[in-house]
Amino acid sequence: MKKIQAIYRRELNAYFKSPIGYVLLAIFVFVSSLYFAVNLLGYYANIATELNFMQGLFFVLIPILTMKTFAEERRSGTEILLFTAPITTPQIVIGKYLAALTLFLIMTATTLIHVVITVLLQGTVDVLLLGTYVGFILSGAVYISIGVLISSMTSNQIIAAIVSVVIFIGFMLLDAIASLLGNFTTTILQNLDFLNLLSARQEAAAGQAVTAAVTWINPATRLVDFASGIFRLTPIVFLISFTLLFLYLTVQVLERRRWTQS
Amino acid sequence: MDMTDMNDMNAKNSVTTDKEQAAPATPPATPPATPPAASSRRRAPKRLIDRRSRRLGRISLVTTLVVLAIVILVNVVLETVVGNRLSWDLTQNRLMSIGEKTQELLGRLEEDVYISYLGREEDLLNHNTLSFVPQLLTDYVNRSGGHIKVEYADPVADPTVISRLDPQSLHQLTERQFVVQNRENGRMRVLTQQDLVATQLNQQTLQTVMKGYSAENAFSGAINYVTLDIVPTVYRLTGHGEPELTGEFTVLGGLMDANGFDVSDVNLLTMEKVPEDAAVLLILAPTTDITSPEADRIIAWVKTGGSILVAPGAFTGLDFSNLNRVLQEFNLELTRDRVREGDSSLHLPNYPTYILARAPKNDITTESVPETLISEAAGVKILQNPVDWITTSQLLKTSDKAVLEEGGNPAKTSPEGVQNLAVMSDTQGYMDGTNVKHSSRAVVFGSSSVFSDQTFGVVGFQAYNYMLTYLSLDWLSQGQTDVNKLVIPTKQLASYKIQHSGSTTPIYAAAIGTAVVLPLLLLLAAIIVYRRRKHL
Repeated sequence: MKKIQAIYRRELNAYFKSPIGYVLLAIFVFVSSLYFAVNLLGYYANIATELNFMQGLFFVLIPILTMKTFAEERRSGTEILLFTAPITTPQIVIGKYLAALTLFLIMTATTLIHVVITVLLQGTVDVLLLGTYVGFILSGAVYISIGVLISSMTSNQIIAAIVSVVIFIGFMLLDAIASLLGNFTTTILQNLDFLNLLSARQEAAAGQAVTAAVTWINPATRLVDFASGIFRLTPIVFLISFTLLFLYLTVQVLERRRWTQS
Repeated sequence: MDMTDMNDMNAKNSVTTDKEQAAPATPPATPPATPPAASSRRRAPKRLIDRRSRRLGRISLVTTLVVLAIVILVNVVLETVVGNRLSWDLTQNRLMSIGEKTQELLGRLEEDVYISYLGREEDLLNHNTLSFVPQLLTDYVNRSGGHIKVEYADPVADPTVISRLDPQSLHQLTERQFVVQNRENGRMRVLTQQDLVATQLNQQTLQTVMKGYSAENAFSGAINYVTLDIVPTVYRLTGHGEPELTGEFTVLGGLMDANGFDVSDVNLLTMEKVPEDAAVLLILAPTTDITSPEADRIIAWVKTGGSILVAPGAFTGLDFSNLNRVLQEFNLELTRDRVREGDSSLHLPNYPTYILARAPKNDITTESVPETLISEAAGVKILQNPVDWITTSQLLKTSDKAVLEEGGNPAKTSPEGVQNLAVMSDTQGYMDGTNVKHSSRAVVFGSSSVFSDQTFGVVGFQAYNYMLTYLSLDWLSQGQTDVNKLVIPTKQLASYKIQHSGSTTPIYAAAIGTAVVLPLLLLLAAIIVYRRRKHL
């Protein structure tokens, strides 16, 4: 635990001993507050919609947050120091991940200022907001774990950021892609079924199954419930398990590199 | 055997050769510049590392696949076993969950009811206002003991779905409709997306704005309708400029739909008599009096046990002589005088004809209730012709400070006193025990504003208006539909309006403080950190 703490403190300090942490916070605060302020001037304040809006910026913010996690260590050659230190790879990954997650939580916490202002101005803050915060934080946790994995695969921060952005945009488009694949499957079945072995309903069902399968892997679709006010156990388990999966993959990537040093 | 295995074998062979070469029987006379044994010793660790790397890679790949499979399996099993059971609706008014009335209805279901959406579920999930519907329908399924079945059938992907649901094309089904169907008795109700949201015309902008969700009301009403044994019909009298229910009385229309009434129009100028299956005749906001033959036909029907609900439109001083001839059968009369409330606490500010009426206890109102908004109402007179077989009761009344403006003239008023805004009447005079087995009933409101959309837009569902509307219809239909009593009000939208009413300074300060000052402070901190690092 102490070893994880050591890595965690080092990483978190790194965010705030360079401008990156402050710049990220400034961008987040500016965009979220601009959304809040515009609504506030119209005598309207709904923090849940603000958080949903900010989720749309994950594809920019989180790659910047995670791009240097491992890529910078590798580029500057300090990775070998970590690998030769008496610390396990999972401890390194957890320490670095928690540091990135902490910065994300600090960003999220800045929106509590908006909550306080809303309450002071006699606006509505309901229990729906709690669910939205949980969804926001869990989705951020998954996206950060993906960003950390990408960063562990390259020594170039820019490449890490670009690949993360592409993947996150891919998630945003996955619904449309899933729908296309579903329709494509139905069309293929219709064209290949010369003998009319399948009914039109079965062919449509096959297409829908493909769409559902592709949509299922998309973390973004798991957030719909939170955004609309439903607090459900299964998406929470999904988001946590996929966070752990990506962290496990990061460990595997680093383990491979650690033990194959020649 | 793959390339990796071949490399491993090569590496193994070369190690064996190294050992053999590293222990020669006699040393060579002249050692070579680079002895082969020394060269092999340098290569050996690298090959070993390569081999170990490949093994590690294989183990890593296998464990990764196993972990991935476990993660997917856990999630799939959890979704299958737990599904939506462990979920909580955090929305205001529990928008995505069904209420007690619906749960009671579902608990009584004995037949299977199919709800088919003619479109894709994901399109609904991505819909601006209807994204909550799939979750709501899931709640219906979960609480129906398997009697409610929901299916999403996209007519684009499967064109046969429409003919399958409506083989005779009676309902002209189109995309994005919900079909609620009892396949045992063949009864069906089609809901459009407009049925699921409650809208209201903004008088200032003349735009339709959403004021709440009526989805539970619509779905439960449809389920009720398709499973009812008897479906009573409310006939709406037409031919006198009456507005459509879909225009000014959508809430009333929705309420009747939800409670299992079939609503049809009847024009007694062209029809000889009120249809036999009529449970209630609705005379709603006519702009002219009915004709004498129409009055005769209605009276003939009343004498067979028929019930009527009369509610003229906003007060105009119209003479309802023929209509009053019908009402005389119930000892009632619709006056040509407008009611004005004198107690300022019982009318809207500056509008003494927009009255917050009181509802005394009677057969319809059985307990203490909130006030009822009724506007521009004519007085309803109970005739001084007491007979044993007619029972009349005040349904809505004013305070004792109200007056009647004669002919609507504010300067010419009656003495102050309690005025009748709505009256109910029950006459048993036509009952003979054989042909007419139940009494004839009438409810007369001084104005149809009691259940107009405009009134619900003002008072919402907290006032007594909605319940009074339902209870009056229920009393008139003499319990034909009171099996379920589905009074499910529209779920109003949560308001995120700031209620701050004082100076605008705090709002501007908060806006500038959060959107300008705070980011600038953070940027300043970033510049300071950057400059310090630069000078290290």
